[in-house]
Amino acid sequence: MIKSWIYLFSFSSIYLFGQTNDWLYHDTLANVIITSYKEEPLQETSLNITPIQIDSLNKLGNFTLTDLLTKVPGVNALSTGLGIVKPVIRGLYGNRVLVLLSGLKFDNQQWQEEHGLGLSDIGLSKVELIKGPVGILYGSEAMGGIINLIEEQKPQEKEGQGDASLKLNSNTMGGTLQTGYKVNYGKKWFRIRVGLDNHADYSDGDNHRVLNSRFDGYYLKGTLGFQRKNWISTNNLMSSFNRFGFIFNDIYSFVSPDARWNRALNINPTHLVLLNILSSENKISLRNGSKLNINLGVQSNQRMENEGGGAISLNMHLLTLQYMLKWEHQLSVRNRLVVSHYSSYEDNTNFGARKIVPDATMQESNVSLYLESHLIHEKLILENGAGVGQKWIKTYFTASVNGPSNLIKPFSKFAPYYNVYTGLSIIPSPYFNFKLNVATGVRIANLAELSSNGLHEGVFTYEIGSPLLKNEQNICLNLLGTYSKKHFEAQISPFYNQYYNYVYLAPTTEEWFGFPVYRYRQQNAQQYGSELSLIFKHIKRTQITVNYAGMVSKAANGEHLPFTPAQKLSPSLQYKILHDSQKELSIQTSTDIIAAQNQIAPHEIATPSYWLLNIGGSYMVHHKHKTYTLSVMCNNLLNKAYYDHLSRFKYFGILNIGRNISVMLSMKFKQVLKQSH
Amino acid sequence: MKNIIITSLTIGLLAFVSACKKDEGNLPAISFKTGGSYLSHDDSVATGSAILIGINAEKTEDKDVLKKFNLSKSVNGGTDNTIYSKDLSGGEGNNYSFDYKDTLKGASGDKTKYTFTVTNRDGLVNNVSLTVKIKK
Repeated sequence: MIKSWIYLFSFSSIYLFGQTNDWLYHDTLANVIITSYKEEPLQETSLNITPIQIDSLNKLGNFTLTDLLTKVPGVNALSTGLGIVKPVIRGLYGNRVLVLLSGLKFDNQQWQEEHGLGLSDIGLSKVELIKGPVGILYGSEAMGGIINLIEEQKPQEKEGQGDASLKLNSNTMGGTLQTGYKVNYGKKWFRIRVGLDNHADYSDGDNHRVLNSRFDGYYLKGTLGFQRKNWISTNNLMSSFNRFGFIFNDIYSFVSPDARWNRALNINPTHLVLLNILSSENKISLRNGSKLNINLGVQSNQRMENEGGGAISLNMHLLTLQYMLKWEHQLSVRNRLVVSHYSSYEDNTNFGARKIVPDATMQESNVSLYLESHLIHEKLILENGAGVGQKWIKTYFTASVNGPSNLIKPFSKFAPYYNVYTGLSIIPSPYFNFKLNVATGVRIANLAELSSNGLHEGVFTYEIGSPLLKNEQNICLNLLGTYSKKHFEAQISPFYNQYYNYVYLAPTTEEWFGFPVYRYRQQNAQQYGSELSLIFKHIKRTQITVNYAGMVSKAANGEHLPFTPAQKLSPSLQYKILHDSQKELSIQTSTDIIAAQNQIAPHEIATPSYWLLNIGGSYMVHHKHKTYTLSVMCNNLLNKAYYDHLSRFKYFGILNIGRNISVMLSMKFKQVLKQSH
Repeated sequence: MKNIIITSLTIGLLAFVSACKKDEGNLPAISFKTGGSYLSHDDSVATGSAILIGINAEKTEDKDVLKKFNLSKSVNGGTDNTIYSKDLSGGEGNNYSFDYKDTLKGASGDKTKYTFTVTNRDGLVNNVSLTVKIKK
């Protein structure tokens, strides 16, 4: 069955994406955002939201979607190579960061550090990134922030759009190929997009090959949208199949080098993820002027792992059914009410010989009220909200995990929770915007933390969970100040995050048949830090940007939390050499200056400072209804050998990627449909 | 038409999922050596007696090599304490042989349980154990 999927995707591997010629879209005050309680201008919400146009980032030589997000200050990537990466917002990742796809929660069994996000930027038009918790709207897990992935939108009425692109990376001798087409007939529209990734092993800054770091992926996306009177419906299908070569501590004792650019992923340790998602977003305008949003979807996520045995050993399937209702009503000229309800049902089943979490079913529901008040119209906006919810978890007998001889038996757990939000957005003039919010987030311990009872593959530690773990709760103070004029923009966003019952994995003095035993524990923790951006723009076709992010993350016992991002300073310069209605030629250079990270958790490895130089250019030409773009980007130009602090490879002495030259060619076209009479 | 497509995709998805079968896996093989002076089952011996226990462990899947061997001991139902642990490498990953000699000490009626455990790279574990009681 899996093979047929691969063949299907392989033979239809054409792919598209749209292009604009800005390097990194950055317009803080002029965006309408949709991740908040309602669609509204960015400055009118007290949330700290960064909208990122995916089109503008395609030229940055990224390998994954998470790679792109790290261009935003305060966002990093926890990596196990180039392909297995998960986003980190202000030091939080996994189940502490909520990912929304088509308006619904995305769960890729991210409870384990080596389970990546597994999503590509293929077919996305925009990402809205919220820093800080938004628990009242989305229930559990929205603690560190939200990453809302927004699919490409329909074209103009009676218009078709298509594109195709190819991106090649010198370091991995691989790349991305994609194509797509979308058309809007007026009352209905559709799109289809297919793509593939394929990368051989990467080389580090010492020109050493990192054996088995290869990965590939196959993607299919489709959309059917229609409009009936007061009802707008967008229905999405997404299918993907990814394979990631997997590296752990003793892999090189049994994996032998093959041909340098070999891409085989069926011999050595590999993680495989098959993902299928059907979702429906519906917006209904009601007669009394209120709006009703109904999102529903089904996700099938199958994770398979070959840890070196030559066959699939871990094989888990997670089926998720969920819906979200949002009713928005204008109470008066100044006051708007939003009532939302979210519910999900998840079923986790083990099909493989190796099991680390038990078979389980989980159900979650959340209901919230939110009131927006324009105390002074479009100048002073107060937001208040409260939500309550519950999560119910039931685990079932699973051989070797929770059987009669095991420490942890099958259990049921009912975990009620609550969240509150209050925020203020002040817009004293068109140039200033100040935001302040205090928000809570909550997380019910995941299956691994509650019920794991076995060896962690690769690192060979014996990990024991506890069904008695309390809810993890945080309360976060977020501030955001923005000043924006024609030639200058500045933004500062300090935060303080207090954690209660933070769950972490702690070493013990116990051992299990010679393996060290680790247990999941809880204690309070604090995080604080700030991001800063300075942008000098539209000055003789030049834009200079300086971004900074730094934070501290400590547990109540004074120890630092693991994988705390090092301080990062990123100056960049963009210059448009040629810019008219037909052609555009621009160049860019940027530097990432990363400080040493010595604030480490027990048993964690400190990492030294380093800096990377990146340089690139882009040429775009419009001809009739077509746009052609050629871009070249060289990341780590000086081929520096370095360890990123959030790379899990640092434990194995494996360096991050060396110099990579990325070349992208794309073609985009528009067609105007003939009017029917 | 749209409904037909969506329904077909959903059915296909569910059919794919339900087609999966559970795999309980092949544990690494481990057994006591028999014959000669090897002790291979529960027994009673006099205090001060020497015993010899032999173990054969073997991988059961082509590449799923043995990773660790462990011997633990508990007395009268007490805590299991590791008395020997070895990371297996090279040829030991395919099969491993181990002999253990002990001299039993203690009071009459004391029971000593020996547990021999082998773990493969996939983290699958198998063990055998026997209990030796000191004769009155």
